[in-house]
Amino acid sequence: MRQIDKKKLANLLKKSEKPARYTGGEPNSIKGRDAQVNFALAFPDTYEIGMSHLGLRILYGLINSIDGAGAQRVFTPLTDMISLMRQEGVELFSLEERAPIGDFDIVGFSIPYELALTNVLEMLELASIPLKSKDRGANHPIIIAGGVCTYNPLPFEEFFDIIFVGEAEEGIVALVELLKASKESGQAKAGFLSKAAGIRGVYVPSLGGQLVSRAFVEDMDNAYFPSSFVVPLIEIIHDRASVEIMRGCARGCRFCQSGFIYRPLRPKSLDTIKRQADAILASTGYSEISLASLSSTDCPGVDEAISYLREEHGAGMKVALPSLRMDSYSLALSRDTSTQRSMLLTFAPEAGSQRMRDIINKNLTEEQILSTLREAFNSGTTKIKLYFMIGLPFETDEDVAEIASLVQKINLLYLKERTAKKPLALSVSVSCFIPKVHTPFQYFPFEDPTALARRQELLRSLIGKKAKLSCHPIGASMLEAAIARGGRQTAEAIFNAHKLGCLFDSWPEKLDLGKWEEAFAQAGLDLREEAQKQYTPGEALPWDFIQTGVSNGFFALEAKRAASGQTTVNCFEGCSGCGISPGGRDCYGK
Amino acid sequence: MANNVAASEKYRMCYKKTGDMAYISQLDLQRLFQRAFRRAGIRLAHTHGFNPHPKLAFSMPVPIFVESEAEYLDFSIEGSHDDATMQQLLQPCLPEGIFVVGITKLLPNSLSLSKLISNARYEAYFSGAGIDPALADAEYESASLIYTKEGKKGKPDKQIDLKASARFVDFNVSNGDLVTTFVLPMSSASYINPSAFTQALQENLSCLGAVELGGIRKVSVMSSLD
Ligand code: SF4
Repeated sequence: MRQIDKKKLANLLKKSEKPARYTGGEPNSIKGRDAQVNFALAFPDTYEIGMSHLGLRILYGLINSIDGAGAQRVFTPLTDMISLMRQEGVELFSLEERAPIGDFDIVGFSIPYELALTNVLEMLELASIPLKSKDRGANHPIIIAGGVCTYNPLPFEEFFDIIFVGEAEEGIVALVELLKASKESGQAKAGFLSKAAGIRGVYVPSLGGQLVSRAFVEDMDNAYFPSSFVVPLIEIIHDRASVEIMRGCARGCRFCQSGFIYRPLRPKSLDTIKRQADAILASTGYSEISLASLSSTDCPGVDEAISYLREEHGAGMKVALPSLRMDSYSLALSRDTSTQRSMLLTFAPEAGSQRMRDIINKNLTEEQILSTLREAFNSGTTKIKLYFMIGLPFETDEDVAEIASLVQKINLLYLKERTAKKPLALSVSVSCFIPKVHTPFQYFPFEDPTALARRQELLRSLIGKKAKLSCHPIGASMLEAAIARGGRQTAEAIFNAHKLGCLFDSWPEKLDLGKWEEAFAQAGLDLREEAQKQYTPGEALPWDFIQTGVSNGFFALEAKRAASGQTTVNCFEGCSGCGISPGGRDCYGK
Repeated sequence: MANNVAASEKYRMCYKKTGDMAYISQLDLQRLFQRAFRRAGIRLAHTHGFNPHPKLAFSMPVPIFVESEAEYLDFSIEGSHDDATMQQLLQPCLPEGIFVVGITKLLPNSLSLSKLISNARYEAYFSGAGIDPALADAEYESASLIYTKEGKKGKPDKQIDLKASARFVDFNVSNGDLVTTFVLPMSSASYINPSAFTQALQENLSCLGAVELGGIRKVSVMSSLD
């Protein structure tokens, strides 16, 4: 592989804000593999954000473990570096070998959120790769998209040669092996693509008209998991070891995409968790580990895993447990993960009123919320963070006002139950509901932005100083909603936005909504109308050709139940017949 | 209380920080070493108290972009290791560009690094300059190198006479590059940043004004006992 001119690069690095973002060379990074298949693992955001993604770390280890394949990383350079690169005529390059991205066989983008799509286009442009699949030739790399956004590939499919839908552990290996064989036999790109379409989870937009079943891993205990992580030299967002302890979620919150696209629930065994955690900790030297899943306390071995980690790796080992439910078991576990009483407890009641919590199928009562907090306050907790959403289907201003009443009740409860001297530090984070594909709420519109603004204002005035309130920006959420359920025409809007200079749109200070409105208008679309599209439960949807295994009938039924405030049991209590497995026969906990 | 004093032994390490490692900060380096020790299976002794942290004491670090052949780190470990094994265990756990030159055990009453190290010798390279070192010397003789250090927390700015602080300055040619060798004080009270010094040279010596700085390297340190 070629390398970027050393002298030019040294010059750029000297002028860039944080050169270590671009130099690689971290412990456990894999350098200098002469591979038959060179795979650029691209993440459309900064090094600090990308390196915090567990998925990327899994893929890096996985691809490097394939005989004859080598993975190298590349992230979006920051704007200062981008202009330096353009000035000096330096192409986008990989961290490991400083090789131009255009020289790779495959460039695989992991797309973590819709607002990262302009970064993808910027990266292709910096690599001198034509942005649209149809404009690329035999000598250009094969450009792949993966990640959660691919469950509706329509808004960006024209930029990619292959879209990988679902869990990549098995399919990526098959793809790489296929490309290796194609290269050996001198097969052309078109031949490779049509063969690739036969791999589960692979969608080749240029072939059109296919049904695509998401890829998923049946046996999590035997699924690939890396035994080492690259250990960054500079500080990143989540700078710690991480072991995925379970995939999927049994709860069925109606707004939550992860709750449906990762069905069914697949916990790893305690032995696997221990083995993987030990290996990662030994090879990285981290002193903090996160046990990752969508609902930690639903994982059967989690309590034993925590005590094991603390015993085996000393009291200095911090164990982080994300996504806690509001019950005493969760509380006991989180207490076990920290000896410090000053620890912040984070919960997500999602809605303020019982009516809304039933509509979204949160299956959480106010009594459960308050009794969990009572217990926490009794044992000295002083810091609480709560997540809520507004703009949910069927929501009224009264429902939103109940968020403020709940905050008030929590404050009073603290005064009564506290054992610590400190005042309560309560923070409340309020996001806007964004309808996502393959959920029961995929039919519903994004709320009218003026109503959202009014409700945010209402919360500000009702909550006042009773909590530290932070509301997500409405514009960014509306844009995300417009893209998330967008169609093929949306790709043109994204292309236009890129041409207008939109970049790092997920960063509030960088998002220029005016430019995006213009970009949509140029594509003949209205951004707001796109976000507010509405479908009738049961009608055929543009993204139906992507199949998750959950039936449309189930989504429609769940949408109707939401309308009447009826809740649905979780998979532990009973199978509600989502379609993943007949009668839940092969599902865990059923 | 005697049994409360954990058996911990103190060591001094000399290491190089070169290549891409010149791009990482002191904070990054602290994290890097803590993790490298853990990977190597060497248990660092920790301070006691509410928020225990490993006992690591670095010599005054080189600024970002400056390479170094002579960085020092004092550390204490639990239990004991022989110096050579420790070096063998640690080196494979360190990234390219961090090279352990040596580790030696410290006697209980050894001077701390900050007390011990008084000056450092640096080299700055000006690539392909083709300048007569005698001209640079002459220009240096007549130049005045005043550096304005911004006052912290509302205190007034300080004017520092770099020429008076520098213990030694010399110009030479090596491999076609012009190399400046200079010695600057390292104690925290009178510390002079080598990048600031090099910049002052470029600003005040007209023969260096237009040439490109190839890099700065710390070559060695000098002890106050020398
Ligand atoms: S088939 Fe039944 S048990 Fe399985 S995921 Fe669907 S609802 Fe849950």
